[in-house]
Amino acid sequence: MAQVAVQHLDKVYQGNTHVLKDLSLEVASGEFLVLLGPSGCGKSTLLNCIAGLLDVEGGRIEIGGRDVTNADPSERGIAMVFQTYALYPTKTVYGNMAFCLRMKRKSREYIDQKVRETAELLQIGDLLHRRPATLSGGQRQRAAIGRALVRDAEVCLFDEPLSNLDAKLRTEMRIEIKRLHKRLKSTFIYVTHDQVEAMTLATRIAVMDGGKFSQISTPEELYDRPANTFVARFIGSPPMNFVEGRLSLRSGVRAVAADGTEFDLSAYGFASRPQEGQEVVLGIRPEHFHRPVEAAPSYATMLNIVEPLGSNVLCYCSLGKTEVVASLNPSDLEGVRADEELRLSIDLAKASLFDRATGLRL
Amino acid sequence: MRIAPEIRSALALPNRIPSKNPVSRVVIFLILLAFAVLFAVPLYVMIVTSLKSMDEIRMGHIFALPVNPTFEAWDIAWNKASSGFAAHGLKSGFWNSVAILVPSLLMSVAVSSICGYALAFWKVRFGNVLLSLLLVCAFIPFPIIMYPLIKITAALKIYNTSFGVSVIHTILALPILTMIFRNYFASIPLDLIKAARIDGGRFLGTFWHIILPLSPNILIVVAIMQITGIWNDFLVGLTFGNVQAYPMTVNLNNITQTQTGVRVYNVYMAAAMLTAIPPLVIYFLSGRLFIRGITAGALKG
Repeated sequence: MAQVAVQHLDKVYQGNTHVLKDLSLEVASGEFLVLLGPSGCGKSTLLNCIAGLLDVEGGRIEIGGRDVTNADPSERGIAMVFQTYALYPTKTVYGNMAFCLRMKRKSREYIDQKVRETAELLQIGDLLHRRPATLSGGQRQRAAIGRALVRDAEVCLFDEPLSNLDAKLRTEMRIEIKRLHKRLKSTFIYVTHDQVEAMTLATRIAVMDGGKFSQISTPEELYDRPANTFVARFIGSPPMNFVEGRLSLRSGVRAVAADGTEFDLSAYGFASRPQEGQEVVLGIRPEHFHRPVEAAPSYATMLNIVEPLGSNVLCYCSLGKTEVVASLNPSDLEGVRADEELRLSIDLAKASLFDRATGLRL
Repeated sequence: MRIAPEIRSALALPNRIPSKNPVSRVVIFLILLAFAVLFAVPLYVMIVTSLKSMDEIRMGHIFALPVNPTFEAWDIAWNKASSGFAAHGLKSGFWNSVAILVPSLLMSVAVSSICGYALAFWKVRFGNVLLSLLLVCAFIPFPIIMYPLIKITAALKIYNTSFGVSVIHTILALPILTMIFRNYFASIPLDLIKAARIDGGRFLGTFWHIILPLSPNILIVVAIMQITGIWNDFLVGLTFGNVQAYPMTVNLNNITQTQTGVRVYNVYMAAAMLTAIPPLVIYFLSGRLFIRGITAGALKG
């Protein structure tokens, strides 16, 4: 069990592309940290730096309290699972799993016992004599994870391990990985661009954007209280709705959109004192729209498109001059048709408010 | 160019070029036959001449089959023919060639494959400059650097030895072989090397356990190139060897050039055939592998 600490890490590619900018990150022992971000944000680069496959231009990396900034990958006590699996094609599954132990000159009995144990854990015991080319995608993924786990590494690194699998297998393997983490209790650092994977697996998520961390917190916090518009936009499907407006303090705190629609923010927990006339962006999750109950303030919207998903219905409506998507119960929509008026109330206590200029949460 | 079957079907290409017209098939057949004959006739003349006696050869019917086929000329060529220095036939030259070939083959493949591996996967300072230099070096004609090489080998006291000849063959082959290996290795996914590094494979461990098992095709291609190239070499053997260390080709030349008196064509032909046999055997044994090897880099998986 080991914690991982990254301090003021800088990575520059070929002298001019500054990929990682002064990153600092603490991963506690036994944590499941997901690095989440769009492609090109530097998340895989950060993982490769932690693994020691890339040299860093500045900063420090510690694993288990030991400075490993310049240590060889094999001496960092890490294991890694690659997106392409990177199984050795000429070796059997057994040979793949045994390779790192053979390089460490472990005894034949120890290797055999360890490989079989790990294979049982991953249910690939009957595939040990097969070559990677004869395995299916899911089996290869298991073999790749087996190769990583066989050495009892304290920190396991995953570089988008599920993105080459089809949707059904991905869901299965996701649960499998979560189960492994629960059982092994080692530190997992997992790179993905899939927010569903991030939300379901992580104990904490680090959202990255342009070589920096946008926000590092638990999945719930990230979803309910995004620190900036980037995180708000990135997390959640369908995405958060944004309404631009100004703050008005004349009667309580209100946000007024350009078309005059007013949103009462008296229940909103401001982090800083709101200011009259401040330009803001109001973020509302689709599921925070409801059919109005009596006496609650409600908004008249025009229902444009309806997407029934079974458990809920996505309604694309015009709220004033803004297009929003609301996720409603199917029963809420009885008697309502497209191109007709739909009255909706908004749970504004759960909304997010951002400064329009800086994009930061207010 | 080979096209994978799935691409073929995607492009709706026919599996074979249809030859509906019987006339075109006959024409293709005749052209192929003409070229086959063109290459086969000299070989045929060599074989029949080597099996004839001198009296029969003097009759001048070079295409006629031997009346009394005899392997006497082959025996003389192998055991007794005079090369001007000694009359031991070709066999000493054969063993000299083997003594030159084996070390130079091992050294050139070992050094160039490791160089190519380093250039393909490891951060080598000025690696790209080195690669460009290799490209330039690969095209420098041997005679230009012959004299400096003679001085160098003389200073190293390996001039006029068969090992010296092997060293020169190794040096001459390094640029092109290194590039061949580097380009082949460049097609191996980088993630494999990363995985091997995390698994604790060092520079040579990764090379031996991961890279070499993936490379039998290219090793066969390089081995065939080297075996035939070194066996057929004349100039390096002549300039860097000595009387005791001349390869078979120089031996053959001496036998055919320094005879006084009767020109024993049957012996010459037998000697030439004997010299050409090893590369021919290599081709016949590994021709299929060779074709597979040279297309291996073009195909994935």
